[in-house]
Amino acid sequence: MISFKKKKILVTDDEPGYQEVLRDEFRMADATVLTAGNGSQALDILKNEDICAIISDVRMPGGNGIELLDRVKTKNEKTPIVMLITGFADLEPEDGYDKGAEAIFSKPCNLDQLVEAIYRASLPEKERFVQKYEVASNDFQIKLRVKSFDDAIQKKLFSMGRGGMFLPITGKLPCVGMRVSFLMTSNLISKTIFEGIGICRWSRAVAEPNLPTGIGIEFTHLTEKSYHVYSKLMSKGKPRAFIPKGIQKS
Amino acid sequence: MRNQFKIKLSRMIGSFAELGVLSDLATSHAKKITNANILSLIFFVVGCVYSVIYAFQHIVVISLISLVSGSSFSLVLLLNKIKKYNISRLFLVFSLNIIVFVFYKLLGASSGFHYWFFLSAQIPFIIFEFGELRLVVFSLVWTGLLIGLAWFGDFSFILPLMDSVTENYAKTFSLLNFLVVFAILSLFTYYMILDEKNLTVHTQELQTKFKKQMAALEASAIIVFTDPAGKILHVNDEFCKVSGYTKEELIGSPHSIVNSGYHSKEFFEDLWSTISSKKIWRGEICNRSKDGRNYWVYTTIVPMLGENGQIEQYAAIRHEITEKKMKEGKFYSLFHQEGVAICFINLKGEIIEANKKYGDLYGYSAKDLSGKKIFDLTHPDDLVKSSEFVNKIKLGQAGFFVFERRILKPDGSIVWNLVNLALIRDASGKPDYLTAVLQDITQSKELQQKLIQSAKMSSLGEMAGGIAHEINNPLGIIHGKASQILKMVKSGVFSHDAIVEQLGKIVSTSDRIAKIIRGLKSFSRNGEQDPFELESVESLMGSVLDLCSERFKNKSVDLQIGSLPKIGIECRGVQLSQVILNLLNNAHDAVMLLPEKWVRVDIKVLESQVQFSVTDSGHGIPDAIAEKLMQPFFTTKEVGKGTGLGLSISKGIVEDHGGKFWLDRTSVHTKFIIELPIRQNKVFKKTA
Repeated sequence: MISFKKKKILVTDDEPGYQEVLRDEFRMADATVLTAGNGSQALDILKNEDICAIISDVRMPGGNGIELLDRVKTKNEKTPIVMLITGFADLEPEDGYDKGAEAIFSKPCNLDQLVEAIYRASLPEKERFVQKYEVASNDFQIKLRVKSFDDAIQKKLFSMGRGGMFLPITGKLPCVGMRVSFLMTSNLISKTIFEGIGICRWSRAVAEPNLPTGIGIEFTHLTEKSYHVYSKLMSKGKPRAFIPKGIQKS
Repeated sequence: MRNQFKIKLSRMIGSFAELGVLSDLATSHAKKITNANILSLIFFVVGCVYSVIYAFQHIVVISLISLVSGSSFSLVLLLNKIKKYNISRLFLVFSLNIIVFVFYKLLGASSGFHYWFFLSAQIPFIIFEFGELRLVVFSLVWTGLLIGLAWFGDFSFILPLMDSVTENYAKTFSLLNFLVVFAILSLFTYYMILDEKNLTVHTQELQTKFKKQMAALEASAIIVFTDPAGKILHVNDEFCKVSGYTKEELIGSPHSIVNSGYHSKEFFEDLWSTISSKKIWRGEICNRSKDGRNYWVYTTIVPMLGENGQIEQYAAIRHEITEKKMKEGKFYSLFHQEGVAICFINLKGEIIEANKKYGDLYGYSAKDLSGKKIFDLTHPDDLVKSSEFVNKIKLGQAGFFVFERRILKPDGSIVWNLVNLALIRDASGKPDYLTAVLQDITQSKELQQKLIQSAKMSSLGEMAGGIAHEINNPLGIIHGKASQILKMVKSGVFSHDAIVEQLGKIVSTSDRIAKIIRGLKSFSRNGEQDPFELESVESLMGSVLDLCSERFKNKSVDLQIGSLPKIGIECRGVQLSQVILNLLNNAHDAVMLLPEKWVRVDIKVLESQVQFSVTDSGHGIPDAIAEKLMQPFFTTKEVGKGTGLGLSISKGIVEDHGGKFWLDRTSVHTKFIIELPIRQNKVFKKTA
């Protein structure tokens, strides 16, 4: 049973009925729930309150969710935000993750999954990523050999975000929501391996200007060693993106 | 007595002889009688005869001298017919007479009177020689006096016969006569010298003036003088400059050296027949320069007549108008090009002249169009609009208008064109005629229709996004509440009241969705092909409110609906509710960020019209935006949020209904007004 231990969660939605639903749901998970009707109200609350996570609608009068996301993430990229989308075309997942959103849900959504995502996002990184796993046969498997991870990033072979990575692959792409197992081997000085399991959050089958085809993977499981590789890479870049939508500019 | 009479008579004849010479001079001077020489001769002979008769009066010597002196003067004058009389000759005559006088005295003639008669008779000649008309009168009086004297008071002519009884008197008289004559003569001589001097100065002035004028003319115009056959006698520098020939090359050459061959034979035949009949010819001629360049000159050819009335020379004065002609040529080619239709329309609305393209557009030949009324050719549906523009232009409310309208061709097909209508004023500023430049935009219009259609589709997509939002929110609530109830029931820990409350919320939220879906009906169809049907204002507004009232409520925008009149409007209901919904949505978005958020709909019935007004709490629209508001693709929304077709499509729909749609700029708050006829009175054709 998930428990937020009275941590403060900010629910931002212009729809009073939905605010109520979310409030009840998070209260059941032992959280303190604060509500805001729009982005500006949310920002006002953020000034005075120590908020552990934010859930925000996108379309709201008087300061929409995307603006809120931008403002929060430029201040502190680590405050988790989960975006809720009602209409389509409001926010593309690849844009949302790139802007730093930890998760994106479409209304109506499975509330348990939503609570879990918020919970996971509020956990410390190591606790969140380092988990035992086994590669399943129906996982989408990606294996990559690189000179070094830094070199690979420079050569634009992949790009790392806070919670996942963009892999510019071509050919058959995994579906959104599919489990992906990855194994990246570097042979520069000694053999280093970056391996784990992720979920495909989005895939781009058609290249756009400056955006090659590929997939956005959110990490769910990493080995201990791989986590070290991850934190080493993170300490250099400090990206805002949860999953970058393209190749980082060097 | 008889003898005396004879003498008197002969003296009179002598006087007449002098008068004859005198009048001869006068007349010949006036150039009215050309055979003055013959007259002069006749009077010379008469003078001689007179002297011979006089001789028989036994005063042989005197008579002979008289003959010589009197006739010599006539002779001198006769000779002078050939050459112009001048001062020196005058003095010659005068001295001749002095000599005669001296002879008189030397010969001991008893009386000088006879001589003085001659001498004084000559004064008028001198006067006449300078041709002043008032002196003619003077001389006639003078001569008349002398004749009278000869008849009644001349004692001297009998002196030789009558001894010298009255000689002293005669001498005194003669002296007096001499003094008078001498004084007059001197006076006239003085004036003559003065005149001559003045004349010289005057002539010089005239010459200077002429030279200046000539210089001005030569500098400003192209000048050429030719002989009657057309051979060049004189050219000025301008002629050389424009033709490229030197003066040496030109003088002596026939004028056809600059002929360009542009003009027909008939053209030059007309020119020559005009000038050879001593008339002035004016016109535009194309000439060719030495280097082969054609140049246009506006030419005036003046035949210059000699004294005999025949053509001596032709003077041609020209101005280069090549540039003007080129421009005219450009305008000509502009008028006759293939791309754009041009026509001139008089203020009565009749076509004055149209080009071929214009004719093609209308399905007539350009010639058939002239005289036709422009409104007879316009599509009936565009008549009101077109005549409005024409009237506005005629009233001077604007210099030009650009608008789109349709032409109904005789074969029934429709051509869309873009009209650029402009007013041309005459020199006094009064409206003179209109120019219309038309462009066939049928193709682009069709394209535009397609574009509008696809834009409608994309706005439909946009709307679908909006609807998804509208529905997903309540759906989210239902889903959330239901799953929470499920959890509670599963856990077995729940209160009856909590479940009832949650379920009540689920029901009311479901109703909300149902309402939205009902409102969607309006957008299930395009509505463009729908027949005009009677629809009540209530149901019209009902379908609109179904779709948007939730949105307004949720975003706490106060949507006020005025009282709905209980009438029906003949309309395409679906289309009309789209228009109103569009206005409401725009208003909703516009007031979103304002502290005061309200939108008000009022419906009024005005005679045969219904007026819908949508007012929001905004404070009007800036002029720059208001002007473009109804244009297709104009939007103030950020990229991707609006296609900019809403208002232009709305306007189109309202106009299709025979109504008007405008932004009320007098209102403090932003206010759009739709005015619709309650009944449709025009016959609508279904557009394909």
